[in-house]
Amino acid sequence: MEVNVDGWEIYEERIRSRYVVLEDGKIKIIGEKYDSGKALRVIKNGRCAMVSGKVIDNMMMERAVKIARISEERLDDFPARKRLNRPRVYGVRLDDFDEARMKDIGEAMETEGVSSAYFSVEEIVRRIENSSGVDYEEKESYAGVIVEAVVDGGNAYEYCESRRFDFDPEDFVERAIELAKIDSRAEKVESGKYTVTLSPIAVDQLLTFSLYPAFYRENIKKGRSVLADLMGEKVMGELTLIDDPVIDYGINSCSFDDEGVGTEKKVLVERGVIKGSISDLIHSDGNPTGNGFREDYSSYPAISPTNVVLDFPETGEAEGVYVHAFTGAHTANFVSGDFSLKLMNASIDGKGIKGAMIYGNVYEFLKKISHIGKEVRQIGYTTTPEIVLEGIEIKI
Amino acid sequence: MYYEIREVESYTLQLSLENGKFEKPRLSRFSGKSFRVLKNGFWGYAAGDYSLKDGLERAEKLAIHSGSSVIDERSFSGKAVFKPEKDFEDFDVEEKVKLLREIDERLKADGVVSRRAVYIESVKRVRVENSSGGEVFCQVPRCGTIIQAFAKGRTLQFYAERHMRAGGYEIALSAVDAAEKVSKIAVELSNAGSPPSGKLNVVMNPSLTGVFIHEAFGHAAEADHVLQNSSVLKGRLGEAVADESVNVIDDPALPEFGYFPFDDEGYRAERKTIIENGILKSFLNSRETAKRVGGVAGNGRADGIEIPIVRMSNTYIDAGDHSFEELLEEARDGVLLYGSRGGETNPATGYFHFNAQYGYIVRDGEVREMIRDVSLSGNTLEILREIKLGKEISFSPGFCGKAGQLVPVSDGGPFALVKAFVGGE
Repeated sequence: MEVNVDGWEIYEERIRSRYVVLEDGKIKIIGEKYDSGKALRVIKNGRCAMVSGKVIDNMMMERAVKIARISEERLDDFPARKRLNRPRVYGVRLDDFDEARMKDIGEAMETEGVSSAYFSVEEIVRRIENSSGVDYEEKESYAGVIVEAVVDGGNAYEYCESRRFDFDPEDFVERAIELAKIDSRAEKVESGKYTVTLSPIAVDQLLTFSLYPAFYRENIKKGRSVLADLMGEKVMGELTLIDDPVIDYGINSCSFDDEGVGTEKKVLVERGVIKGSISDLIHSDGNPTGNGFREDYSSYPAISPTNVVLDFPETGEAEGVYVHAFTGAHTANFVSGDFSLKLMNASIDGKGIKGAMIYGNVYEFLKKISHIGKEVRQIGYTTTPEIVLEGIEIKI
Repeated sequence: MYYEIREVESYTLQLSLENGKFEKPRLSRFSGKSFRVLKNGFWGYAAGDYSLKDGLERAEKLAIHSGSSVIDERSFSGKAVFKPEKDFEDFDVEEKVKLLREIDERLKADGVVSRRAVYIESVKRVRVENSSGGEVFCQVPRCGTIIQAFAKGRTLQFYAERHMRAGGYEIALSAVDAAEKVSKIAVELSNAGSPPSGKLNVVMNPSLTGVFIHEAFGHAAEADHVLQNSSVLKGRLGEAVADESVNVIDDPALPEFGYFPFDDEGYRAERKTIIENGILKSFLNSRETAKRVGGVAGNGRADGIEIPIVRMSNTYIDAGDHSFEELLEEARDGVLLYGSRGGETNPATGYFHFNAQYGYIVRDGEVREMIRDVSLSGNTLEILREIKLGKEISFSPGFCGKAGQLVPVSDGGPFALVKAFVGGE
């Protein structure tokens, strides 16, 4: 660094991906993306600012220092080098997926009823270097598929994301079409109290928008989390939630976060008792948890969970109304925990349910878990089996 | 073979004041290229760090299959640079932070536990050339603020307003006056009660009407959804899909947040009438869907160097002839709802669901107590058949997400009376 600063950090991201797109049951596009970018953060007199771009030239460095002088983003220093946990995160090689193979995979997914589908393989290299001696690099991979199906006016989607190519995209085509068929014959049920089973997709949608933000130290400090007053109290029945970034091949596993903080396992809730929170550097009061992540190189690091592993003492079978997914999960109010969600591809005894809603509060909701299923799936931030809840009010 | 080369450059400055503290200042520049080739009816697409020559070659290699894609290859040439009233380059960072401080001061009120004021300026430059000989360049600056307050009363609640348009610093300057209103509503909301539930008469404010027409109807009018069999409007061109008072328009030429002079396929942007007097007149199209479904291209938009897909711009339901008082009188008993915290819609079925920012009970045609955490859902086409529209329209800015891509849009409409499913706790 040639500029006069008290601390600096360079984050770099290099992405290579290849994908195939299907529309109306037919393969339509094969594409690829080679992209990269850098972000520079500087500390001047304990004040921090960030600039980003393809390249960070002198002009950008000067702008960073100029903004840092008036910034009130307080940061004393960037984290020092530390021994890292190294989970496995690279399990599929992009070079094994040339355009001919992508075409074959796409063609194998060609099925009537697929309204759109997307299969992709991606390699990402993240590198972070700072003035405190950190110089880490990690190469990671993803393979994923998303399928939307429309059959006789019924519709559904299914998806899968993995660090490895350990799934068959055609399975997700089949499942989406099956769900769409059930949806096309869906009927209304009576409003009332039901036992409800949430699929891993539904669990992740519910918790991501109504619960996880309450564990962010930024929200706790700023009066935007009800958990601020509930640390150490038993408020979630027998539920256990652990943020575990060091699971091999976990979708959000990593050795270090996007601020150069080494990652480790954290208990958020243990048998219903609120135990922990997660933080990035800025809101950590000197005790970051390795949960500062950037949406892409140009985004400011923000708090995010990694792989939240859900556990409960009782296991059993799915029961009652089965909810595949929700519509409107992102409209939940994480400050209060209140949500109103439409059930998508819900069924009871294999018969589709039309137009049903669930209203509630996530904290009340989680007390109603009676048991969880046995087969664990990772969706988004959540690693969970199905969860079964009792006495849930369904409104039509 | 048809090809297209797109070069994109963008610049964004974001400044935030969180509880009076100037936090997370962020300046970013982006540049990238994308190349696409249509060969034997199949697309190859390469995006990122390629030279002009390598990118095209790579895109052609990716087009290894055959398919049924066809496009409108029409060429356009031109240069469009949007001139703001007040160029934000002429104001330094200190001044912009001072503006945020003024907003922050005005946000302070009893009951407000947390305040946030954000200033955003951006410039997007795009050059598109294609194998038909077309070459266009456009430059669009956007500017504005997001103002948010969290308040604690009987419950913890928040309220936020966005003031953003195509243009310059003048937009941010004009947003300062909104601060008091934001904190006042947040405080009232924190002491508001739960809404009633059931199928009710609902008066939507212009912002919610706008979200409704964008989310619940506009997406179904995107011709890629029609081609994917996932639009409730498929096969209904020329049919009555709404009450005859309903006119729905998408107009990228308005200087609102969704403004663009040429789309990301290098096609000239123009006003599209989607519904005229209740009749479905046209879908929104990209070069490909225009050729396959029929209609005029010009709505192919992309987030950065992603693949352009059919998108809305400034979408609105035009004014009707009811006064606000008439709508309330007609509603008699029901709710009056303001704004949206986002929503979701299923263009395949016409089902929509979104949460209002806040609302009021309407009893005997009068606006009564405030309500919080209200959701609104229903079937779009059923609602459009019975909608009653107010006299004045206004626009609200937002970012619309589709296929993982975010683009700036605005939605507009008047106060409107509908019958829809309202829910709460």
